[in-house]
Amino acid sequence: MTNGAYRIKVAAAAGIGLAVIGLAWGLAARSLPPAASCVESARNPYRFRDWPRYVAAVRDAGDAACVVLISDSQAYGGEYPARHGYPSVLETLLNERKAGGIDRWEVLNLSIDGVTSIEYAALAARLREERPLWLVSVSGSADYRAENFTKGFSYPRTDLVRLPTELDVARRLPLSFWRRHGKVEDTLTAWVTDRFPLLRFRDFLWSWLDTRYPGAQKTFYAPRTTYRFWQLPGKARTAPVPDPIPDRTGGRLDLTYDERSTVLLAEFLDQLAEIPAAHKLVATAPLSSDFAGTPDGEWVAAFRRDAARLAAERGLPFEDLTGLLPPDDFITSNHFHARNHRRMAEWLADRIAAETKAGR
Amino acid sequence: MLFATYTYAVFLAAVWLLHAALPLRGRQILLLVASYVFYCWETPVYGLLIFASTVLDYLVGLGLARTENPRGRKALLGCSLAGNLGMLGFFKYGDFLGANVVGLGHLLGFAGHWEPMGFILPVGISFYTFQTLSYSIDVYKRQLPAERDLWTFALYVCYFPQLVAGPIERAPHLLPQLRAQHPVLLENLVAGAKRILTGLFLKLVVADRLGILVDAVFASPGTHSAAATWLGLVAFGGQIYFDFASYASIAIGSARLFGVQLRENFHRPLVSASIADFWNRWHMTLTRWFHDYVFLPLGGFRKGGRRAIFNATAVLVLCGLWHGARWNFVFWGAYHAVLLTGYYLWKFYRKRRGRRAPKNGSAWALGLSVAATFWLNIVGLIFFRSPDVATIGKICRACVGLHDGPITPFGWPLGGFGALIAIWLAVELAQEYGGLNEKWARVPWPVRAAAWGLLVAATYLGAVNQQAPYIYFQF
Repeated sequence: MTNGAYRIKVAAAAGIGLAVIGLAWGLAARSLPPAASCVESARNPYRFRDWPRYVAAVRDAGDAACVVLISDSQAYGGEYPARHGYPSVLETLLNERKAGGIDRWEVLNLSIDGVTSIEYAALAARLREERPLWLVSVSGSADYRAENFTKGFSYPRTDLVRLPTELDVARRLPLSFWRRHGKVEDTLTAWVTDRFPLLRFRDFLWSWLDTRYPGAQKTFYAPRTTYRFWQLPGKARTAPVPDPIPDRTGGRLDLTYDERSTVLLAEFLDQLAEIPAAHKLVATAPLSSDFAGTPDGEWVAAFRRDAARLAAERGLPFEDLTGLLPPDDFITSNHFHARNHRRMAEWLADRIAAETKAGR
Repeated sequence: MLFATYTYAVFLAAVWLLHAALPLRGRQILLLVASYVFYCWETPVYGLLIFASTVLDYLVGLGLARTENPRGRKALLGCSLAGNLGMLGFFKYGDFLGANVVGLGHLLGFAGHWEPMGFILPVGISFYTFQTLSYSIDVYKRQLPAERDLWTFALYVCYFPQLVAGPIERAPHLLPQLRAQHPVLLENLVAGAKRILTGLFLKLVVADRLGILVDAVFASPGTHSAAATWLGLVAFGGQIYFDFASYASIAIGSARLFGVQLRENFHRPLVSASIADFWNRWHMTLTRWFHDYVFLPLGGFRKGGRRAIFNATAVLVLCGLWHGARWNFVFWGAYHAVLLTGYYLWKFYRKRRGRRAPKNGSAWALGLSVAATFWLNIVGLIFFRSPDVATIGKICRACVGLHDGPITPFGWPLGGFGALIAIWLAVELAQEYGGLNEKWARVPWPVRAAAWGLLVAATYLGAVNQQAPYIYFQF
């Protein structure tokens, strides 16, 4: 074959190959369901993976008074339907009581299971664009565990790490954050995924398959993930399968809290201090015990000391809620039953009502 | 830097574009700088090691070219051997040797304690030390003139496509290609892109997916049914083969973009017709290295049957140990030595009885040989994958249905993995014995072009959520 003919053949073959890829891309674009409304997304307990839109829900709340809650699995409340979790109960209480003389309240629960300080910092940096009436942060020592210190964006399980790749958010985060977490490959992946939503089609496809064939996602696609990326309606064609894929960590996280954790906490509080909310509250997460006499106890105590000191240095109101709830109503050391969710919501509702009223 | 990442895609595209625009000397310098950037991406300090290895063998080569004194030449070769093997031994085998010497001391009544040095094994050290060693040995044996240009030699040692996991190249094959000015050819681009896309599919869709089953079975050994355990072992055979073959494919494809042709490393090893055949197809550049630089100098087949068996055993045990400083790799090598010895004894027995294999053996006999070789290999992988002797025991017990406790049920996904494995083996068998590749080449090119488009889409849609590191990086 002559050189010219070969070139034409290669060009034609490339055209056919690209047409097939384009066809697949088009089919994917047509199949990908649109994102739910922002407020609905923020209440979605299944982590619809579109965090930039979650955060924008603050603006979409309209004339309702907005409480933004940043927390971890405790407020995410995977054990119960979302309506029993304390963020939902809090919203109901605030509206029933017309707390602070306000008729309509909206609680945006930006909490997430397995969250790390990397995501906390990114989320808080993004929230600096919003003006919620209240900002409440409830976190525990495990969220700032020392092993987070040098991890890249592929370490967190959520795609909140897409946020730092937005230029405005990137600029707000300190250089030290980027030095620690800005691994090239992870950042590039987060950047690309943020710009091309269709790259998340794979997550959607495997969630869809999992709806029909329970176990498909975890066994064939994402062995380290315990949730569906997209919550989709559908009828299962097979019975749910037992979980043959053990957690690679064996369920054991290294919860060491040391001076590296203090840095992570301080940087998160720096970001919180910059959010233009009318009222703020930084609190430690309620626990079933203070674990005195164990390594866990030392880490929890160090975290409580750090949180109180660092919040005070930044002028952030602080409450230590470690022993707030009765230990009998805990499921695990840090997750609790519906009764404690109710107690937690009532404590927060009282605090919010009183301060809002005083501040108006 | 990992191959199947956005970073590598950007890196490769940038290097290729610059390469296309530069003259020969500029290209060599660009590729050298790119190779060091590639290698030092995660741990820059280990770049010093590869540079030290480069300088050592470069100087040894120059010394060998200047001296005719046999003792001097031997001393120079000794320097290269001591330097390269010393570095490899220190980083890779230091703790293993120390712990075993102390353990032996305990058995003999001596007290002592070995504190692990805790070094992280420099990526690719087993590959590039073998490559530099082969250069010095070839120059010593006067099979190759010494390279006089340091930068060309440095590029030979650290050429990025094959630096961290092979193929292990030889100087007579690679050095002339690195010296040459390759024009930018469309043929090279097409061939390179095809190999890269194939490699990505094999890694992200096949190897990493099979790895999910393997991890599940070996994370809690002995708690799965016999069927799940066997399927997990077969899946490991597929995982390690496709993981490594995909790396080789992307390496060969990347090099081809720059006009360089690397040697093939695999030829469908898991459908071999015998154990000897397997070792001619598995990690070919390493087995060829051991054949040329260990087996032949030991005497090969020239010094009688017993000596040949000893030589083959020594080579296979060393080959096992090359993979890692753990006893399970030694067991794996020894297991293959036993199999190979058995195979040669059987051949010897048949020869003495005057029975020769017919030229066109029956399909049944061939099928039986392929199946037997396949399962013998799969059994051997128990040693390869198990981190300790206790795990070997648990897996072996599970394989025959003996469990210490209740079995973890796998459910329908086990059938899904079975189907994936069946497809893999059917394609391999059809390629090797059914002429699939030749038939594919006769398919009209527009259909093949559409199939490549589908492969790209399937790679994206079928890739697992999180890429596993290449298994051979740890070696």
